[in-house]
Amino acid sequence: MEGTKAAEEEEEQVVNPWEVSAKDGGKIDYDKLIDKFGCQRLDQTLIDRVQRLTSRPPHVFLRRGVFFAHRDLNEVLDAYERGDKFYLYTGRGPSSEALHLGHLVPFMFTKYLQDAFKVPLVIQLTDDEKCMWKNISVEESQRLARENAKDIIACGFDISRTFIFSDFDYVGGAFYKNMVKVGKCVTYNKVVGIFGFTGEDHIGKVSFPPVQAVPSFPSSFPHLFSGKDDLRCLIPCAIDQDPYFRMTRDVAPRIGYHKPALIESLFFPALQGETGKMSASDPNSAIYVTDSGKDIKNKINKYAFSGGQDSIENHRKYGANLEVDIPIKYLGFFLEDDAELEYIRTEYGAGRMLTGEVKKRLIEVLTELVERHRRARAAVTDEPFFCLRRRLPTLLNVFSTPGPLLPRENPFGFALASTS
Amino acid sequence: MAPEEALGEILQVSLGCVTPFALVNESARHVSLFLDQGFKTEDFCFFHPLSNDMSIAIKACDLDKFLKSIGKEPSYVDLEANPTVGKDQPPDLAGLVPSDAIVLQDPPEKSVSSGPTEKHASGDNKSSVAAAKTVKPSNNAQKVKEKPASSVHQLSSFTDPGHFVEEILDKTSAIVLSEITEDAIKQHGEHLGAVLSDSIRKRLSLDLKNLAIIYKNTAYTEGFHAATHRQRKHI
Repeated sequence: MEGTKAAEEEEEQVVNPWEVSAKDGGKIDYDKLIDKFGCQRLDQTLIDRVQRLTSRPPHVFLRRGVFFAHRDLNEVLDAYERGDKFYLYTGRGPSSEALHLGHLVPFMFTKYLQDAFKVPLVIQLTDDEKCMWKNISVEESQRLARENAKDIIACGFDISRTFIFSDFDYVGGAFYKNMVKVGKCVTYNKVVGIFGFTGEDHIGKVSFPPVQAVPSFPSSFPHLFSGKDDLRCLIPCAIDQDPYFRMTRDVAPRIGYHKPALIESLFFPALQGETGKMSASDPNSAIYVTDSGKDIKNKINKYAFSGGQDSIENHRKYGANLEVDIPIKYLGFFLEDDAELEYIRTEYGAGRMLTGEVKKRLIEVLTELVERHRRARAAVTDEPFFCLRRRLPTLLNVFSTPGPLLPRENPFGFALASTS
Repeated sequence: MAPEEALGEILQVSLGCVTPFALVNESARHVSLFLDQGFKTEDFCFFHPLSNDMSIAIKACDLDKFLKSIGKEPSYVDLEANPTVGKDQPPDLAGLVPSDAIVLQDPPEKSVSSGPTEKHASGDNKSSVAAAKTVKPSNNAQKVKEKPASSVHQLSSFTDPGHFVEEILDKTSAIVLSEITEDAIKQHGEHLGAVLSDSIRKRLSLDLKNLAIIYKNTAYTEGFHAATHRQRKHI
């Protein structure tokens, strides 16, 4: 009995911030993940509640179950209903210059949350983390952070409510004080247990987790939230980031802060299928925001894993396997129209629609998305505005008394083209 | 961006034939050569000789030998980089241009540097800098001429209220015109207005919202820029 149990445990799926792999090279079991992590399913009543509170249709990622799990979302919504706003916190580890569509997913959703709830947002670029884990130079990680910030801004965040920062640039002051407070509450053994560090890992890695934890606390941003220590934080992220925030939620009450709430997404599948891995070294495993219309067409047609049958006769007879079909999955992410998606699923599943037609529709949708993104990105030039420590003006109405603008020389940061 | 005439006068080559070999000409004495650092790691590099109806394969080290033999020192830089150039940060390649380089007049049209198409070093466009590129210089010369016009127009929608409104109206008109067809009139009759109105909302809403947010962000930035510049003057 014990022997088989141990063997089972070894085959478990692995999900942590640096590694995601399914059992036996199969699919990720999200129900098991929710159980193991201890978060909640995001059910229809919550989605309806969000719709009521924001007076607008819920985002396509909510409707399609892309964002499917949460912690304490109800508490945040309760507070919001009472008139207590919250702020959003999300981030990116700038490990590569090219972003693919999977990278955009949390940012697209965060933009929706910002627009729907009209709340401020902080975005952390963990250039220090990538410098350590990917073993790149400090300068290179900062450069990647700059480049990634442009793509993030292109997702359409409201500059008057958004603060983007890189760790190398911002850590210090009140932020660092919180890091130390958090650090004092987490033993070495605990952090090893959560993140799987070993005796061979360098101390930079071991002391990194507080850096990603403290943006959940408003006092880390005195120029934005001064005097509002009880402001709640909602963190949209992919579910592999959960360990950081489990640790943060454990620590928060001990240092007098609210636990941050989370809203978590599935993993974005690689072109080759759920079992494939999206990897930076294989450009054909994903659609990049720099891909041309031709590239997108080529990649989808050649590499997108199809659930269709191997011959037209079989396909008409048995229909497509929607469970493994990648174009259907991608349409689930990016095709806005529920009715159209339902129609395609039905027809394709019944074998009346062919793979080629589904792929064609997907190519249209993705090309439009990428083109829109590229245009928005072109409008971002090199000036320090999203990243300046300035008071966000809308906060003046809701929070502290008006104060002087706090510009600061800053090494990166972007504003938008002005042709004068 | 160097004007077209410079190609003929200074480098003595035709359009689409930018090549390091052109430096053999006396008229190119004051031209600084910047080569993308990617050349150094390639086994073979291809360049046009002095005409673009053929290409020559040459090893990077042999190219260096040639350049040294005509008294030219190449600078290998990252031509894909896009550094900030501003008050406190002069163009990063400026230091590599020798002091006796000739300064050309600014070309009349303004070219906006937008990421993928322009692979020339961003920065001071007053000194004459010839940048060699990998395999297809001919495409690049043409492309660079065409792109600026459309990308400037695209970006002006975000800064100029007139263009912003024009773009919205263009998109809306396009939908109206495409949806009012004989069939549609027959099908919906007097309700065509409501149907059309819904359709416009559905098809345009996302697009226009995205446009508007970029417009807002741009305006905010310009305002902030104006305010901080005022502050600096007082210091």
